[in-house]
Amino acid sequence: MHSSTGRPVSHERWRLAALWSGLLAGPSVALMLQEFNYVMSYVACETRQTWFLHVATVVAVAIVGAVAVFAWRASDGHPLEDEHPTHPLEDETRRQRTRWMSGFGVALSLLSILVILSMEVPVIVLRTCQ
Amino acid sequence: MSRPAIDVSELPPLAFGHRGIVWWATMGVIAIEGAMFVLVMVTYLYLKGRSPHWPPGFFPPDLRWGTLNTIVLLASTVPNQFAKSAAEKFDLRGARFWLVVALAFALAFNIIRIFEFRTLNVWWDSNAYGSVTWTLLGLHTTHILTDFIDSCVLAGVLYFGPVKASLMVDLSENSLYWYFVVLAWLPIYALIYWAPRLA
Amino acid sequence: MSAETDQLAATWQDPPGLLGWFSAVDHKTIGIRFIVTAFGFFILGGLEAATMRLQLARPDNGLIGPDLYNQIFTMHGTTMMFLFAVPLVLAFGVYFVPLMVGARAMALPRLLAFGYWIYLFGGIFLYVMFALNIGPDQGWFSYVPLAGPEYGIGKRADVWAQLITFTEVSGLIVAICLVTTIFKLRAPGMSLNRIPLFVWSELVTSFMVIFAMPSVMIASTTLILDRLVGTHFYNPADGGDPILWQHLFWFFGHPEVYIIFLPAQGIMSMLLSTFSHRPVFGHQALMLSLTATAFIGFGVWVHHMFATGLPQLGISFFTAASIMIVIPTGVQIFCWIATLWGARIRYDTPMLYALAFFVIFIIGGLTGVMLASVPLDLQVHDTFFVVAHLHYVLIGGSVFPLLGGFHYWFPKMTGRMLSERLGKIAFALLFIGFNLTFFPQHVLGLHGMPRRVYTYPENMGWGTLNLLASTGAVTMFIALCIYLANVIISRRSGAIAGENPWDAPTLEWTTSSPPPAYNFSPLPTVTGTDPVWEHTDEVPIVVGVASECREVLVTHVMDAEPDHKKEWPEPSIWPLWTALVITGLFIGSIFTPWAVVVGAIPATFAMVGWFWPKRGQSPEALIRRLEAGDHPPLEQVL
Repeated sequence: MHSSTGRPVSHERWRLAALWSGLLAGPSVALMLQEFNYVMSYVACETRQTWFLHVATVVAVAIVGAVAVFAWRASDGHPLEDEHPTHPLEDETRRQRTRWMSGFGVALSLLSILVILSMEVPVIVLRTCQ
Repeated sequence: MSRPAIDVSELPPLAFGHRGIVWWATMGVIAIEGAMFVLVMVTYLYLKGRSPHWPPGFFPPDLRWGTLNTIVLLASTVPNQFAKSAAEKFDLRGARFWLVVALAFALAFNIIRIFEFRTLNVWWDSNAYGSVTWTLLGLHTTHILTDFIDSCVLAGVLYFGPVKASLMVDLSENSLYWYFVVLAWLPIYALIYWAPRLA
Repeated sequence: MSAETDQLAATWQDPPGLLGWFSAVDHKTIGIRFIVTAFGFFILGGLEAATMRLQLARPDNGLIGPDLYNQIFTMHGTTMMFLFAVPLVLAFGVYFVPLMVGARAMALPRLLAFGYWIYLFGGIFLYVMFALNIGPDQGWFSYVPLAGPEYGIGKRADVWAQLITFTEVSGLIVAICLVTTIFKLRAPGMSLNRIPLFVWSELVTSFMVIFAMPSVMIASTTLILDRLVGTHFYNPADGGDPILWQHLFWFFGHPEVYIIFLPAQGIMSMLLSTFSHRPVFGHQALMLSLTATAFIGFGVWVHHMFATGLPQLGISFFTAASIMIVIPTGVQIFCWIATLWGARIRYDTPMLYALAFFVIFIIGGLTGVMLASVPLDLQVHDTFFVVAHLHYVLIGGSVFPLLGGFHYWFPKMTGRMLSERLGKIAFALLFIGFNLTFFPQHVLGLHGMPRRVYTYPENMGWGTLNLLASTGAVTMFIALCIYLANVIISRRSGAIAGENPWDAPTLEWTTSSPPPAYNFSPLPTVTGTDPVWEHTDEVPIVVGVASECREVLVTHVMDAEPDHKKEWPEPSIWPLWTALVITGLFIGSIFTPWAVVVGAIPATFAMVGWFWPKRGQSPEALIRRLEAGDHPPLEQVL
């Protein structure tokens, strides 16, 4: 029985990128936003403005939302095109794993959005130089 | 024994890139060292943010040697890439030739680094600015030095033996590490040489 | 089959003799060394704790003076965090991850061996210095300026800082080995979603190690630089900042506690599943929780710095993340409860430890939520309330599952069962003793008793609760002695375990106890998350991996399809030589920076000796073969 040493053809790359982004991008964006917020909180106190913090939150939510959408769309059941015929067991494994990775990415992205929104709360509630 | 079996006897004995074990080990090291670089750079920016003047009472580092070294480092990626491509085509002769060429560049950028240290215009114990500048440059220097030494050893093995085909994989991943050391330099160069000028 | 297994055994076993013992690279051998060493440090750390509790049992006690007390609480924290907890959670991974993923070996075995020696030598270094009265005395977190050049006289703080280097290098190395093994050596069919939860927890933990430990290494190195060569990182008079230390330390320090915690959560899932004989409820949700906790764990570190005077808006972002991190933890707890709901539970000793987690960790988690609130934190910062919290989460969240996991896995490692009677007695005493020791400390903290004081006056009224806590400590000590006695006795005369005494679902239970040097024959494949419970004779095995040489099947990252076969490194003495030389370099460099330069020379030689191939052809011969089109040439190894 053939082992699949063939690598995915190029139009599979977007799906791989979408799936892995789902796993990694959401929390990374949330963490980067936190660093941005922390550094810029000093600027917010000096300038008595917070608009950039709000904008950053919106941008972060938009990015992670997009990641979630792409991860969701990467789960569809199109048969993967590969150069070698594969065992049906491998196909089923790959389908399950793809669906799992897609769902994982969506869930992680949603949780990241929750974290991002939780960090928006103090920007709304607290004064800049407290 | 009548269990179905997956027969892997025809599989190749080695693989390049992310298919192989050495790539993952190398990437692990790159992740760790990359995290260290990022943390020292963040420390630099943190100390800069807390200082009203940067550099405090000193001239910024001379641009000449650092900029020259940046060019040499970037140029070294060319023979490095040739060595990598040759290794992946199992061209042992070509791979070790280009490795030696890359080593010449590595010798050059290590020597130029000495001049960089000498024209930083501050000592490590002058103040926090001096401390973090020396540490940032010193951390990168340990990388270019170890990269040089381990590439020398690799070249030695490739010329004197004993060798196996799997060494081509080691050579390819060595090139990966080389790219990391060069690319990591770019933000460090920007911080050490330009941040004091743009403050 | 028997001829093949004989040949596999001959190929894979550790070499004999004394030299062979020092050259061993088998992950099971090294795993046991890590585990035994970690438990050895656990005993030392426990003795330090017992000493402190004896000193604090009465007001104005004179058992130990202030200087020795400072050293002891520093040694206790340093030992428990760096020499016991992290090495142990990684050690279980070293032993069991290759088995649980169905691989013949761990990736990068000689590097793994080096990682062990560096850990051992670092721990010995610390304790030798302690015995010489140069033990660190500025707390396990070594704050500046107390640890800095002005107040940290002598070499004590340098000893601490260099111990960090030893243990973090070791941890980072093990993390690389684990990530590589988990991504590349899984049995065919073990796609990412079918990875056992303990293995997933080790994967996630290894990534945390890789991104967190560099921070404490930078911190400790810059501390040594400040103390040894006059840099000013933490000197405010010359542009430095003591708060920088706290940022660098806690950016590591918070993920550190999750590094200690997540593998224990992996063990929890494993124990609850096995002893209720059900696949764990919400396998994917649990994987998600582990991952989310690891990520968010990097965004909460400033909650250790609430009392430093940082601006409120800035720290509030970390309060937000600290509250949000409760979500994935909560999901895990509900999944575990759902796993148990309606199941027929076997209350064997490992399960008791797992059930104790629910009680103890949840209490610790609740006090953690309290501490996440800045107003309350400002009241109880640096009091025994925090001591109580951290011990509830660390011991409840990690030590109890680890002790349960050790009891669970002991049969696999040794071939013998631990005594259930002794096990349950030890558990009961430990549970009671733990709560007796640490619950009163919540009250003591609320009543204002500060941490890290060697004694307290009579009129504070803290005497009774302290005496209660110390009684609890004695109880814990007795419990752990019984646990140890159980291990020692059962090692020799425990019941024979067989392959799968617990009827557990994961792959390590499909091979003998202890496993043979080659782990499995035949090599397995999987079709689900609980191979033993799901497997039929229709699930394929793997054939075609050589048995006359050390050959390992390497698979693809996502779906574990077979990719190639790699020749594995042989046992070697070079990791030991390198570790010895590097130890000399590390120790020397706390006395003079020249040690780095001088020590680099033998270190280079050692690494050359390690890397230089021992077998192969001349380059010219290989070039001829390659030019003749024979590539990749099939290797003649023997």
